Amino acid sequence: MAKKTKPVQTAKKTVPKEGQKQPFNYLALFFYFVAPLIFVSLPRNKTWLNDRLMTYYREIPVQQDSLRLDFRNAQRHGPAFTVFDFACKNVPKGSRFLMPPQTYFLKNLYDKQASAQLQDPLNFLGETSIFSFHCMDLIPITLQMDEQTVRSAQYTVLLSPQKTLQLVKIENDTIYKQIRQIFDLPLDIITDRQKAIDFINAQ
Amino acid sequence: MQVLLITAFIALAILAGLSFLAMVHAGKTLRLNLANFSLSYILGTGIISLLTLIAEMAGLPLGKPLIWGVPLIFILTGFIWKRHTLAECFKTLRLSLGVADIPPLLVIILFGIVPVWRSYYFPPYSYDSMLGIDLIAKYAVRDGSISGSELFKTLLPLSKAYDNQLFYAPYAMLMQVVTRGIGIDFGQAWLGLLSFFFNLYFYAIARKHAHAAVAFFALLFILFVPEFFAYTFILQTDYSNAVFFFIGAYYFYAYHQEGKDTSLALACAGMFFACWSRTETIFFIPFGSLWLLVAAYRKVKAVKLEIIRAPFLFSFIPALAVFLWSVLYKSLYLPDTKSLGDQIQTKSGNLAAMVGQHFREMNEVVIFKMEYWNYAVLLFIIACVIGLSLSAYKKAPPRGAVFLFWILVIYAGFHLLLLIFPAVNIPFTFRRGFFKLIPLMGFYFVLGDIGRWISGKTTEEA
Repeated sequence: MAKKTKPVQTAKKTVPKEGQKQPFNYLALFFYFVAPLIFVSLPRNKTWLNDRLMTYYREIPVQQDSLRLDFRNAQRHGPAFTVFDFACKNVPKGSRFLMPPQTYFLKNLYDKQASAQLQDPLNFLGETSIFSFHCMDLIPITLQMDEQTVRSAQYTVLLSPQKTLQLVKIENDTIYKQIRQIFDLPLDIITDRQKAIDFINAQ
Repeated sequence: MQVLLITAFIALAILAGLSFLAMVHAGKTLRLNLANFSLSYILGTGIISLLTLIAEMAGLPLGKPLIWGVPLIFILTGFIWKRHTLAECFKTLRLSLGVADIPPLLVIILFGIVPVWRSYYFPPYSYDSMLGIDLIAKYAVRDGSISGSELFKTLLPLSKAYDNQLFYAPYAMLMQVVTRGIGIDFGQAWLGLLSFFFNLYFYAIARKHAHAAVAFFALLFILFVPEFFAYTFILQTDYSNAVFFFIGAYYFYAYHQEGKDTSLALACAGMFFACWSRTETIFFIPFGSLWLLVAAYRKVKAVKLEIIRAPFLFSFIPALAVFLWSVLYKSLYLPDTKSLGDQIQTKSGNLAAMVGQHFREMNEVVIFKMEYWNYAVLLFIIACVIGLSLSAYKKAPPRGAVFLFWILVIYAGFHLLLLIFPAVNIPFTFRRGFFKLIPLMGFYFVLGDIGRWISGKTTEEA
């Protein structure tokens, strides 16, 4: 790039004569004050400024008081973090963890009356990548894998009737068979909220 | 401690960018104005990400020594090699801002606090970040290598399902590797900072070409865009892609105007990092080369070798970004996956009908959805109509033609992409690809007829 190249397009300039005073740009002054005021007062912009930006601002002092990492994680990630973090904290490192299907959680966390309130279809609970994202210490196994791999799983979680998480160690064949029966549900991941509600209502 | 780490990271990025700018300016004057200062952070992060990948490809273990060391070596190299340029640069340091710039700068700070804080406070939670960007980064930082991490060695072969997100362009992922490696909680703070420095850069560049009144409005134009703003603290690839693309487009414009090699180099660098952050960007670049070729030919009116130089470099250098990651790294380091060729499936059917359908859907789902962009699209269309009418009346090329060109290229380019790649869709790919247009539309106000009229600029320079 040491070689000089000709400019591709020359700019024609009209230079004001020496001594010719530039008139004060009243138009620009007017625009400088009026345009931002009008722009920010436009309905959508005003609403966004107050409802979004100012809300985020007001959250900052509150957030500054709670800087613990697990709290910040839980606040953002919801149920997937809750379940996977529980597994991560209670299962020995390096173990193979059998992920319950998403449909298991849908079936047991919601009953027909509550199903209409469902906001999040909980599809993250069925994703191995998201499990690996939240829990780097365990090896996730899903029921979609082959029989031999599924049998090699050592732990899993179940939901108690009170909807709390319970750790289950798959120690012997009996427990394995029981687990397979409990998890005998559709394995496709449901991403649509309405389809998730339909599934719950069909139980 | 976190504040210290984040400040140190900012310093590292700015110095790396400054070093790069000194190399690019190659003996010519480098002014340390606001534009170059903010540009330093932006390009600096790009360079750090590139260096980190090269170091990883060389087999060096990713850890604190490497993450700090490699950029520091680059900085030292640049500072020693280009010490004269940099000495001049610091000697001629002076504040070229005025009283009129204070309110816009306050606005930039006001709009900078939320992205910086939120991107620091919250962990990445977007789908793409948990399945790709941050997933790879977390394992890479823990295991000391990207391709040698447990993710690629044991976990993915086990589940046998490879998500596309893993193979997205690496800028965001590498930034997570670097910032997580440094020890910043969740890493993501670089994104909020990117938006802060980009707003500074955009305003500074606008200020160079127009009155503060116009630059202030253009700044507000790009800030009051809800969807664009949201992605300054939600970890995806798209905001950084828009930033780098604007830089590439601006220096493309500068090169078209003045023909300086520095501008060409920065245009190539901007577009390199645009392709480094979203792979599909490479499809838009050759149109720029075509423009440069046609412009050069019309100037010289003969087919000479020298007219090919700029168009060639403008496409070749960004193509390297795609080649380095999507071809070289993927084939040599990452496990087997579906190739790009498999994904090309031209949809069969009536071409005109498909284009018509895409046109309607793009308008309905993205372009005219005011929840995403507020008044940006509307105001741009009004300004465009005025500008093009005036240009037709004067029988002269429209002011700000270069930016209208890039806006058109992106729009038309997406039509092409929708026809060729089934993976490209409108609600996600096009919506997020649309971010590139926001700074371009905002800058059109600076260069367009209204902006020039208000600035009191009567010269003919476009």
